Amino acid sequence: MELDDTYVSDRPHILVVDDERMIREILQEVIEHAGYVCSTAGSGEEALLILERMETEVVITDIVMPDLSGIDLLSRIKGRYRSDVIVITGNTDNFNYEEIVEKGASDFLYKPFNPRELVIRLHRILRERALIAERNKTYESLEVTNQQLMRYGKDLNETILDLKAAHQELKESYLDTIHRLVLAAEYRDEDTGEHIVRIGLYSANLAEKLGFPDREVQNILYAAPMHDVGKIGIPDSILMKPGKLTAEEFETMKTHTAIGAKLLANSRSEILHTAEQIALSHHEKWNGRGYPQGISGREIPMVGRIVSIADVFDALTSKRPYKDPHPMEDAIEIIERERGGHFDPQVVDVFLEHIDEMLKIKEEVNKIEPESIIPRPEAE
Amino acid sequence: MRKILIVDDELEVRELVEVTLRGDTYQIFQARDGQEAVDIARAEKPEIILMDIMMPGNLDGLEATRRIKNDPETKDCKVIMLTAKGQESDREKGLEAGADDYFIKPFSPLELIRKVEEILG
Repeated sequence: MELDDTYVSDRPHILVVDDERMIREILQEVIEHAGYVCSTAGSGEEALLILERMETEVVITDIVMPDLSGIDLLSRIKGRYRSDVIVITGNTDNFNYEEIVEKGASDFLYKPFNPRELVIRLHRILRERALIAERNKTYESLEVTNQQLMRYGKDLNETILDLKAAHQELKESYLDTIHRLVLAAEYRDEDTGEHIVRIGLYSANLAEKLGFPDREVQNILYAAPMHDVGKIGIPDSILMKPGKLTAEEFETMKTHTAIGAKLLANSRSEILHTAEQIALSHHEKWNGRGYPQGISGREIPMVGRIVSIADVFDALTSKRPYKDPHPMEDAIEIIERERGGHFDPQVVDVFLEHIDEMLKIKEEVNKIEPESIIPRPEAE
Repeated sequence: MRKILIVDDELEVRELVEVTLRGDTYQIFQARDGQEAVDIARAEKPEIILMDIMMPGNLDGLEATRRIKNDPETKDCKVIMLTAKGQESDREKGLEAGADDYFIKPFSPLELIRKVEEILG
């Protein structure tokens, strides 16, 4: 038969394969009458040629044909095309159902059959094909959507990693800035920045042992070093005076607590808020004989009570230009003696219970290269 | 506000692109087909048009792009094509039609945002 390669139709294409011309013609007429496009082939070989050239929805094939049998044709079709196959069998044909089903036939018809029955079966197969096509289209669309979603997930992940890195960098530069501010405040007073590093570590360790939540422990680690920033407002003549201060000078010296609190006040940063409390309260005493407010006991913020003991311990055990450090035993004894006097008894107990850790911190900080703590200019 | 027009026959894609670019900086318009895209382009003069190529109807993304780029009223709109994967030939045709850039679906939302920011300065 003549075929136009460019022929395209929305109507399904049905291919009838039978070696008997009469049967081909009858079937073709019925199928075309039902509204489908129908081609015919007199042999399996001819059918394969047509299949190669034309998209074919359904092949209707006889089993017994010279050369390529209907069963062989079925196998060849299933290996290569998406066509459904209806197999027509005679009662006398030598076949077995299992084999035909296994090879992928969609339906059977026994000879002789009513052509209208063939049309009904064709309808059913074509409807199934339409449903499958629709389902496949849905799958494809889901797959496209899924790929787009994956892309969003990937970009979201990338964005979060970028944000985390940016946040980390910002946090580091923020802490670095705090550290340098503290160094500026201590610049005239201290030999090295080791003191402020130790105060942070002692205080954070104590806070942790006292059961503070992690976040607050972190805040204290960064806030405690700022306890003396108010010294920036104390004149050189007092701050750097080699001898003992007069009563009046000491009164001025005491104002470093309030000055520090003022410098750190009204910040939205939790760290600076904690630092404000510490600056104001780290010279208060449990017995109320401290300054600047002279408050006592639990009136003193816990962070102040913590930093107070860390500050005194560090002063006792550190070497200063004008004095050698106290022996460790003396320092511990002084702290024990001030339990309930200068210091909160509970904080003293925890401090002494973990004195080994405090000593370890001291040792660790001593090992740090001074340059990494304090960027001081070369001595002249 | 800077105006952006999203053209796609699929509602889901339009919505997705819209939420990707949503913010307080852009005014976003949607068109379902080529004809609507041409009409909105003329009426609103968006700075950027994100144009799907494969669209049903008698005006696909290519033809819509051609008309927008040939119209003195709308020729300054930047047209960015969105082409489906495996339809890379559309890209050539799209650039010939006057498109300024293209994205292949699935597109990267980050790249889309960067591209839009780059064009709008």
